[in-house]
Amino acid sequence: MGIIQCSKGHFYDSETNASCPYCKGGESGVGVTKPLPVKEVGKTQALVQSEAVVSIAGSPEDKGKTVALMKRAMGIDPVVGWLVCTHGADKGRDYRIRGQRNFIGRSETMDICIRGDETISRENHTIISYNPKNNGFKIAPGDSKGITYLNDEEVLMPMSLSAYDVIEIGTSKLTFIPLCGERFKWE
Amino acid sequence: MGIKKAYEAVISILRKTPAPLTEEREQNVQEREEKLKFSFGNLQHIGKRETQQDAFGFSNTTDKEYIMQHGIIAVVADGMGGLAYGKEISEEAVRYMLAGFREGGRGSSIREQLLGQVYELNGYIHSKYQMQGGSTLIAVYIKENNLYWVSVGDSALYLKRENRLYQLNKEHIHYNTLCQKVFLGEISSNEAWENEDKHALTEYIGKDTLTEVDCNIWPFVLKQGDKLLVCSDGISGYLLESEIAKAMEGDIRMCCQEIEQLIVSKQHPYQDNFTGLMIYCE
Repeated sequence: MGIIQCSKGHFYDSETNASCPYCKGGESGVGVTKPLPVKEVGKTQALVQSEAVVSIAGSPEDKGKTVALMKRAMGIDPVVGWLVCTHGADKGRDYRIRGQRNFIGRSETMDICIRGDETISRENHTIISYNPKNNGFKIAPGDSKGITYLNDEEVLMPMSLSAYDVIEIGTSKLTFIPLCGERFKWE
Repeated sequence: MGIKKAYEAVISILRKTPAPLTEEREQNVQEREEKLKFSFGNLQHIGKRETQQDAFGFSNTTDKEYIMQHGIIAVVADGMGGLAYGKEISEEAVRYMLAGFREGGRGSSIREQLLGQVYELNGYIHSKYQMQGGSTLIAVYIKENNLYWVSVGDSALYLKRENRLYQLNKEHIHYNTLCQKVFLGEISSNEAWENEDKHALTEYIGKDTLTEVDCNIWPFVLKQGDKLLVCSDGISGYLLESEIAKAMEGDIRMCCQEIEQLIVSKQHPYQDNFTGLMIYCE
């Protein structure tokens, strides 16, 4: 048997794995649920992009993903706000924010995928969360290398968001537009 | 006579002094002298989450001399998904416990050493992340045939002995606090069960002050044939204890595979990250 222990103290079979599968956070572990396959992005990037962004809530793409609480209660996963790219590669595009945590990055598996900006981390650059209990929005840093700025201030810990706040990630600037707030709430 | 014996037993518990040697204790002493050998297994899976926030590790288990001198430690930490930095904190917690084990020498007893390490770790994580993140932590320490554990949060330590499964640690969840209120007659059992926050943690690494850390006072003596499972709530919260007991039969690596497959086959839509470490006493 090729069971060995890696430097972090995990046991794995060296005959089936070249390196410790658990040191990568279980990403390549045996039988790991993989994210949805990345779509072939050809030259018609803009089209594919808008199609993916405008994916309807509750579409087959959601299968196997953690389904948000609001979706369970309402049957749909409603939009609670938007981000609008006002500066950068995707200028003029909008992104939907839904209930609970929205992970932002360049990868297709992210809740909010900003494809055009190479300087944004692939996964978890920033997290925007909507809390249906207090009807408020927060922004928190992701676990990637890139820094997030909120109105030119570095986001080191979760901060509250208000309408027209400017979020800067990579070379893109995104303006935050809430739908839910004092004047509206999904019931 | 009966009353006197009962009185002595109560007093000995109150004073936390060992009871006089009974036959059972003598047998335990004998068992302790026959040194056990251990084998290990682990499993981890991301479940249906976006990131893996569980972390785990064993101390060096390949060097027999080292085990004889220092023992073994196995650690599982489950980063809290509801807060930021879950992944970083769980990894730091495991690293910290393993490093502390290698250095040794905090406090006079193993219990003090484990508790000291947990409080130190909590202080460090709290000052670094300022309540912006947290993690559960469970560590088991085995020296010769003696088992010690320290636990903060809702991760679990199970013992499978002679076809029975026992959970050795107490979980720090709000439901346990509610159950106490049920016993005192302050609320009804329905109210406790229907409480929305019943799964919320009352203790975790990263909290301002830990008020309750679960750590055994006396070493628990392991016997030949015992199996231990140290796991995150991705296992203990998603499988029935009868299912865990059944999956823990047979070869230890098969057990790990079985638990993993069982959880995957259930296809729970919100399946949490799950991690399990197994130790078999040969």
